[in-house]
Amino acid sequence: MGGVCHRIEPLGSIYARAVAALCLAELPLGSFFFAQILYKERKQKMGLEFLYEYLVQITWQQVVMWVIGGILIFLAIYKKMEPTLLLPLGFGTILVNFPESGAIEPLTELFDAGIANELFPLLLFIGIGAMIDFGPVLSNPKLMLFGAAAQFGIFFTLCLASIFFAPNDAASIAIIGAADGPTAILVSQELGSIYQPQIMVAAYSYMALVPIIQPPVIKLLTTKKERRIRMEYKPANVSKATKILFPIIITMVAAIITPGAAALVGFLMFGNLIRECGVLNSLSETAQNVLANLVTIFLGITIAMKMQAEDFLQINTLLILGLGLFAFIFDTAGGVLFAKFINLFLPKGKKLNPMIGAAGISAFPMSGRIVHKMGLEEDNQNFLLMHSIGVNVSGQIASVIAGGLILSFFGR
Amino acid sequence: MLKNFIFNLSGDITDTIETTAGKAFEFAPKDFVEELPKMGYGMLGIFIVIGLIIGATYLVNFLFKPRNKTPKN
Repeated sequence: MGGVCHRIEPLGSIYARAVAALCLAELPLGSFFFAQILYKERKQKMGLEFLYEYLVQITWQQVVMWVIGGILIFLAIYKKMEPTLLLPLGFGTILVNFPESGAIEPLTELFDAGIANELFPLLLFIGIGAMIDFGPVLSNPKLMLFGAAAQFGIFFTLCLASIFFAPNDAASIAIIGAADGPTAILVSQELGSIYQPQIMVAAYSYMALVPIIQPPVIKLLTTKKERRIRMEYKPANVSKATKILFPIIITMVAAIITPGAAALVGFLMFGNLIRECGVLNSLSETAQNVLANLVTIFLGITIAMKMQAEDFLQINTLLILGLGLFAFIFDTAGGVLFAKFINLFLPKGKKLNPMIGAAGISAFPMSGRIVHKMGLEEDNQNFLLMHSIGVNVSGQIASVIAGGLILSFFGR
Repeated sequence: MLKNFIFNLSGDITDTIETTAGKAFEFAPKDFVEELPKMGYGMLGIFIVIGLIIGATYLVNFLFKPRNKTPKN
């Protein structure tokens, strides 16, 4: 209090001197009156400009970003589209689009601490791995082929995007087709893409829009007769040893052949190993719930740091959103057409329902449920869920391997 | 200050569109053909890796098949 009292030395009024005496006596009342004097001083010198000086600096681009943030919040709350990511992203978008926003600095610190070094996506992958049950895949490993086929959209979009963008940006845009948020963040960060916010918004929005994107593509590529094909489900017993060895084997195979995928695959499989080992139930629970939720909170709001108007509002944004949609469509088409190709070599009673190929994208478990629902719509006795979920799970594996391959082709 | 803000608004919109259109993107269709081999290698790579994982899974399933315990008479 004594340190600031020198400010009132220039004041000549008796009132000011009395306040100075109170300040020196360190009485609380003195600070109140002192604040009053300072306010009057400021008001006399600047008028009321300090109340609206930032208001007039608001640009129309920032207003547009507020609307975009509001739309993301609306989609999260009322349409329940990926609320865990879209709500923090939407709110963060509003937060960083004010003149001289004080939120940018702490968010930059968080970004450098967790996204620039790819920490947050990898931690989230531990949680995702702990949530996945590979049982349906282990009982019928052939289903993993459809997971591989459904990554076609990534590579086709890579070719399309290269027409408009530099190779690293084209590869980062193509990875939207992985339908996996952490993979998209990690790959785009590793490749140094400047379009990370657009890629994030596209990846998470289209993941939530899978129920709208996939059915028309599936119906276009299949006949009613094909959609009515029934598939028998004979679950094979899978031993605990298999469930424990599976994540280890996948990590080793992927890391040896595509070292770029080691982090992605490794953290995913580490989470799964915690789940399956049977001796770390508390860690598994923590990974599935606390860790996943905590990282998701930080991830969503931190990525919003890149949603500043000058970065996001470009014509390129529309192009990226369009290419992301292409990636999802061609992922679906790749899986369905591969299933139809396999059917050419199968005997009549053993045909596959080609719709299960569409479940090979990594939007788990939404894509698997969509295929099952479409099967029931065609034939209410046709239960495709275990097959489609098995393919959906294998898509998780295939998408991270695709991400690793992209990093191998284009990585620094 | 408020008057200047409103006056400059239309100018700002025009500048932004021109700037972004100018630097929006390059158009190089030949790059599509140049990247096609990467598409081929990428799909082949995924199938190879997945194929190896499938093979390893079948092997592990065979080696660690759950055995039904028969009751001792």
